[in-house]
Amino acid sequence: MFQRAIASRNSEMFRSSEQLQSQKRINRPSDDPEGSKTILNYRSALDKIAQYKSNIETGQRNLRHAEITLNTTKELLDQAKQLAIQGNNSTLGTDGRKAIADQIKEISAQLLGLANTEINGQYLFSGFKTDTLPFSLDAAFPNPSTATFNGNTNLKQIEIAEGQSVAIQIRGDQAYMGDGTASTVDLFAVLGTLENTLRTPINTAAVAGDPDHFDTISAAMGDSLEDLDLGVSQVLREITGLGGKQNRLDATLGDFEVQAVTLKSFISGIEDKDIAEISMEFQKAQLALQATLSSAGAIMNLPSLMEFVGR
Amino acid sequence: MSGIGDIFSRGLDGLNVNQRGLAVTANNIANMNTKGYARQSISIGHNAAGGGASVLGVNSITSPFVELQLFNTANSFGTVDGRRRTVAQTEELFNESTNDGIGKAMNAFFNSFSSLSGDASDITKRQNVRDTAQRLVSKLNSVQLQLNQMRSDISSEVSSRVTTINDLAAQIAELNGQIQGNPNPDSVLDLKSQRMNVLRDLSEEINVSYFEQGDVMQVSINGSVNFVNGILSGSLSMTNDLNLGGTMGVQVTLPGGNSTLDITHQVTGGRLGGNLIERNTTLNDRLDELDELAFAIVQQVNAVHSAGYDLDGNTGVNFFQPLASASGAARNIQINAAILATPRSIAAAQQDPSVSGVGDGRVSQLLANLQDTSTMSAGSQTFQQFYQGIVGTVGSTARSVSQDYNTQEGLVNHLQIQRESISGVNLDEEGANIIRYQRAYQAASRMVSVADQLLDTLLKI
Repeated sequence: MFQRAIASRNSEMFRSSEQLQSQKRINRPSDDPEGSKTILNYRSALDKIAQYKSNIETGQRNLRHAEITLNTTKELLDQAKQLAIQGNNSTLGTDGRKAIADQIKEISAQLLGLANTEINGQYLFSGFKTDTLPFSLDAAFPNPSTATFNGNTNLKQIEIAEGQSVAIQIRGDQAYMGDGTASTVDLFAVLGTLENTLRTPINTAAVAGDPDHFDTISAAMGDSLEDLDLGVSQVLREITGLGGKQNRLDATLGDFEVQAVTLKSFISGIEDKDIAEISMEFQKAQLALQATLSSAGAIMNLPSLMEFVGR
Repeated sequence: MSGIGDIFSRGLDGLNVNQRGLAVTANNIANMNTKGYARQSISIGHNAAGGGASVLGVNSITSPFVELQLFNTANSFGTVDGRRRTVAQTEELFNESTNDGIGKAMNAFFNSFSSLSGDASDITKRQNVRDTAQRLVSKLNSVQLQLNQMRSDISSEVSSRVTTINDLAAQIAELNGQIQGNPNPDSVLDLKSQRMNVLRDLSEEINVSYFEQGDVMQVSINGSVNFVNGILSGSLSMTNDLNLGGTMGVQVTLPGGNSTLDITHQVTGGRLGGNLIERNTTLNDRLDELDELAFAIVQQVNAVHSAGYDLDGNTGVNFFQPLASASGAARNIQINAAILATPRSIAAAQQDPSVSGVGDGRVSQLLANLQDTSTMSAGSQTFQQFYQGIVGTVGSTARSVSQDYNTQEGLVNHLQIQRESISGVNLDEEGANIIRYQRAYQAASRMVSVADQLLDTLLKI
C-alpha cells in the first residue's frame, strides 16, 4: 500500500520538476493534445513567416540595387542634358563640340555599364537570363546607334505572403530602351544620335537659309534634348514603381513582425506556466512525498501487541 | 464416576480446540506477507450431546464482493498496463515540444523551395533544398524505424506473455487436481486461496471469466472459449505476421484437444489484450499514416518537379525515387540519385533555362506552394495538418491511457486496502488471539490436573 503511494508521489514530483526545468505546462502531446496541435500549427505558421521575411529581405536587396542603379542612370542623363545644352551653341566651334561629343560617348559607355550591372554574378536587368549580358551595343556604335537587349521579359518572383508574389526585378528593356510607344525612348539611341549630331561639323555643307548649317544641327539638338527629357521621366517612372514595391515589402515585413510577436505570445499562453505557480506545485509535491514517507515510517514502526506476548 | 471422566474429556477438548487456535494463528502470522492470503479463523462449536467443544471448521475471512471486484479490476488494469509503455514511447517520437521532428523538417523542406524560387541559379540555395530534403527523409525513416522496432518489441513481449498465461492456466488445472478429493479440509482452504490468486494473476494478463463447479474451477476466455476444464488446461500460441500492417494472431489449443482455434478477436483485455491493441491497431495505424504522408509527399513533389526543367535543361526528372504504393513509403522514401549527384538537377524552372533564363524559379515556387495545398485526406488537409492530426491522436491516446492507468491503479489500490482491512493479517489481533488461546490452553490443562487431583483424592479413600 505504501509502495504505491510513494511511487505515485514520486511521479508527481518528477512531473513537477520537469515543468520547473522547462517552465512549460506542455512537455509532451498528452499533457494537452488539443493544445499541442494548436502549438504545432502556430509553430508551422512562424516557420512560414520566417521564410516570407527572408524572401522579403532578398526582394528588398534586389529592388534597392535596381533603385541605386536607376538613380545613377538618371544622373547620367542629367549630365548628358547639361552637355547637350552646352553644345547647342555655334560659338563653340567644331572642335569644342567634338570635345563634348567625346564626353557623351563616355556617358554612353557608363550607361551601358549601369544597364549591365551585376550583383553576386547575376545581371540585374536581364529577366530570367541572369547569366546573360543584358545589353550590347553595335560594334560601330554610334553608327548605327543601335543597342540589343539579350535578356528576356520574365521577371523573378518571390512569395511575400500566402498567394502573394512580387516581382523582384524590373524589365531592363523597358527601363533602358523604352517600350516603343511615343512617350518612351531608347536611351542608347538617344545618346548615340546626340553624339553624332555633336560631331557634325559646322560651315561645311551650307544649305539655303542656313549658311553655317547650324540651324539644322540646332533643330536636331533640340530633338535630342526633348528625347533626354523623355528618358529622364522614363527612368523616374521606373524608380517610382520600385519605391511603391519597396513600400509594400516594408509594410508586409512590418505586418509579419507583429504577427510573429502575436503568434509567439499565443504559443506561450498555451504552453508556458507561471514560474511562481510551478515552484509552488513543486514544493507541494515535495511536501506530499515527505509526508507520505514519514507517515509510512511512523506507521510501520508502531509498537504491536506482539511485543508483549509471552512476557 | 462419569463426572470426573467428563472433566477430563472437557479439559482435553479445551486443549485440542485452543491448540488448533494457536496453530491457525501461527499460520496467519507466517502468511502475513503472502500476497493475496486471506486471514483464517477457527469456528468453535459447543457439543450439543454431552457438552464440550470442538472445532467446526477453519474459515478464510473474505468478502466475495471485494474479491470479485478485484478480479474484474485486475483485468482492466492489465489492459491499460499492456498499452502504457508503447503509448508513452510513441508519444516521445511525435513530441515536438522539446525536439525538432517531422513537422519542422517538412516546413524547412518546402520553405527551401520558396528561397530557391527567388534565386533559381544559386547553387547554395539548391544545396539547401537537397539538405532539407535529406533531413525530412531521415526523420521519416527514423520515426518509421522506431515504430517498427516497438512493434517487434511488443511481438516478443507477447510471446513471453503467452508463456506466462499458459503457466498460470496449467497451475489452475493442477490446483483443481489437488483440491478434488483432498481429505484434508485445511489444505483445501489454502489451495483454494492459492487458486484464487493465480486466477487473479491470469485475469491481469487476459480477459477470462470463471465459475466454480463444486471444488473445480472452470475458466474461459472472453466467456466463451474453454481454457481450463477440470484438471486440463488449454494453451495459447501466436501466429506472427511480420509484414508491416499485418496482424499478430492468437490461437488456442483447447484443454485435452489437439485442434487449434483462432481467438485473436476474443482477446480484448488484460495485458495480452492491451499488447495486441498496440501491436495490431495503434502502431499499425501510426505506421500507415506515416506511410500515407510520405507517399503523398513523394507523389505531389514528383508530379510538379518532373514537369519542370533543371539548370541544364533536362526535364521529366523525379525529385524522389518514385514509389509504387503507400505501403512502406516512410521507410523507402529516397531522394532521386540524379539530384543527390548534383543540385543542378533540381527542376526549378518552368521552361528550359537556355530559353527562359537561369533565373526561372517558377516551378520551385509551385513546389513551395504544395505545403499550402490540401492534398491529403481527399483534398481536405495539407501535409502539415495531416501530421498535426497524427500528433493529436498520439497525444490524446497517451492521455487517455495514462488517465485510465491512474484510475485503474487507484481502484486496485483502493480495493486492496479494502481487502486488507477484511482479509489482511493484523498483528495486534493475532497477538490478542495468542494470549487468548494460550490462557485458555493453560486453563484447560489446569482442568486436567484438577481432575487428576480429584481422582487421586478418590483413590486415596
